[in-house]
Amino acid sequence: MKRNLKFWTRYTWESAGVVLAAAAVLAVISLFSAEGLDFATFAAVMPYYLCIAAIFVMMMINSGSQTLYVPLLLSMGETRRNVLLGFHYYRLLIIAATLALCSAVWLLMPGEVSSVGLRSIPTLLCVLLIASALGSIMGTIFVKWKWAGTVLIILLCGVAGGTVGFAGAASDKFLDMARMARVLSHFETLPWWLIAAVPVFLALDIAFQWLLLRRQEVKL
Amino acid sequence: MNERLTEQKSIYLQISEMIETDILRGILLEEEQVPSTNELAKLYTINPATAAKGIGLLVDEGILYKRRGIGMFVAKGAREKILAKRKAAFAENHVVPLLAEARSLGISKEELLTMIGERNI
Amino acid sequence: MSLHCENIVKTYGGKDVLYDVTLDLKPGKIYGLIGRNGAGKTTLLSILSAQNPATKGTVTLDGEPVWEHRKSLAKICFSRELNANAESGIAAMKAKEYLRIASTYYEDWDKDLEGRLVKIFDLNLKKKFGKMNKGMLSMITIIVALCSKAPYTFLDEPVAGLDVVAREQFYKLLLEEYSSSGRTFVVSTHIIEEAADVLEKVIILHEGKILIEADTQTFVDSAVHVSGKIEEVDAAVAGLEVHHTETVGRSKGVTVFLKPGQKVDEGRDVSVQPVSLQRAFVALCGEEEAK
Repeated sequence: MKRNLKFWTRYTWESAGVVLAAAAVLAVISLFSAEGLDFATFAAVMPYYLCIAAIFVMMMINSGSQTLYVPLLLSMGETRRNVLLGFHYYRLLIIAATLALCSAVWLLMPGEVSSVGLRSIPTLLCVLLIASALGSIMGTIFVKWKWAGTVLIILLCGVAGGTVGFAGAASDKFLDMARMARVLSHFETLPWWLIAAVPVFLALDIAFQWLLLRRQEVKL
Repeated sequence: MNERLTEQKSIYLQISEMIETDILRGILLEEEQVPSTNELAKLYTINPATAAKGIGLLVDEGILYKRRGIGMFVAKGAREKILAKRKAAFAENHVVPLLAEARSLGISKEELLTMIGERNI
Repeated sequence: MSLHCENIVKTYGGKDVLYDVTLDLKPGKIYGLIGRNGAGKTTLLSILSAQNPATKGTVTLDGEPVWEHRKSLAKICFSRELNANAESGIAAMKAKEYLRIASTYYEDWDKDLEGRLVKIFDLNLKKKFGKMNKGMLSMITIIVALCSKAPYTFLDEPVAGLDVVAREQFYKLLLEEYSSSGRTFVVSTHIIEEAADVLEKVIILHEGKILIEADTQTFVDSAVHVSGKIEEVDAAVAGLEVHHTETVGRSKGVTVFLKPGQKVDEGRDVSVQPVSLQRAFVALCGEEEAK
């Protein structure tokens, strides 16, 4: 288990690098489309980019690495159980790191948007958990049926592209702190169905992954 | 020790014969250490167990002996032993096939003896 | 103390790839797993190392199960053949990363040996697998196998992509590691001739079944080639296990497998010659083509 944790922890930091890079790209896009930028507002919005980037990494990059690392670790004598646990450990770690960074920024940059952000953390947690479950379900599908996985990933790329575009357009309009806070305050409320969806998706993901992993044949 | 291995004979027999030949030629002297099983294995790219079997054969015959913790050594009188053994096997290994070939070619005993008489040892 | 598998059956899509395989791998030996392409060698090694599930049967190490048992798995290394074609995910991976992960997972990874082998094989670890040729990929699998220090180590066709010099080098390195550590190695290969002298034990897998599991020397010694006039050969080998008959005009050649105590009739006018492991293997497993 020690080796397993070591591998997945290192993998988390590698992914974290990708998350930061993706967030930076989103930030640059919004910087270019924004006029009369106010630094405090921009900084307080950054954590949202970070969350979008984390979702992007968990849904797209991970499904690819799942097809690579799962058989690789099995080929190095890891048990199927530990591979599953390790993968979930990684997901929790990357979500925790993302939210910790978000909170840190919001605490350092007090303001209307930041206080909305801090109150939105439970919602963001749910969204991130669901996204990670979806991502790993896709990875599992990708392992089993390559074509279906490919179609799904293309679809998701479209959605991600749309989100980036929307974020860019939105930042143009909402750059004033008060309006931004109003829009983002939607995240403050945590609807019951979102809470209910988390265990459903997680259970679905774990069941799906275990079913496949249990009988998986290693091919490199 | 630098002969090549052939396919015509079991490897362990070839190993033991090579060591014997080296002793006869004075390449390995009495009371001198012989290469270890692992050294032989690496030299000939053979399994150490095969090399050990070849050496074991010579130990059984008293040509080599073991010094605990050090290795294998050539026994006193090993050269004489090998000479005696090879002489004893000479007829079987060389004369019998010679006679068989002579018979199938229709060479008589007298002709054969003349051929041998014409040559120096 | 042994790696043991019992009544292993493996079925793919209704077709038996392995059929009731029972095997006992003893510690401190070099086994050769030989068989034709498709005989089930890779599948057997995958099942022994729990990389693939068996359809039926069990694998145990020192009495404990191997499947999902980290303690047992830690003692086994099956360094798979790397197939870095464009389709496989591993093509984009750098050799360096692969070795790093291997060194994380194998408890007793030998870092010094890794450095030495990389130097001997003259490998550029910054290269991606997709950019490496078959020989380089073989070298990587050899490095993982030797450096893993696992008590039971399997190599699948380790010399397939290597040139003759590198092959000789590999066997010497294998023997060196074996002599100094006493680990058990199972080497699957179809380049038999060069490996023959290295293998203490030989396992012949044919069409999913184990035909022979024996001391290499004993097995090779039990096989002889008998040739001569047809009638003489027939009389000399009467009652013996005869394989691979070849007839040209009045002359006939057969390969005979002698059971303990059996002998070719020496009173007949025939040539009796020793047979190499490769010839013995072809005589046993190549018969369909000979007919």
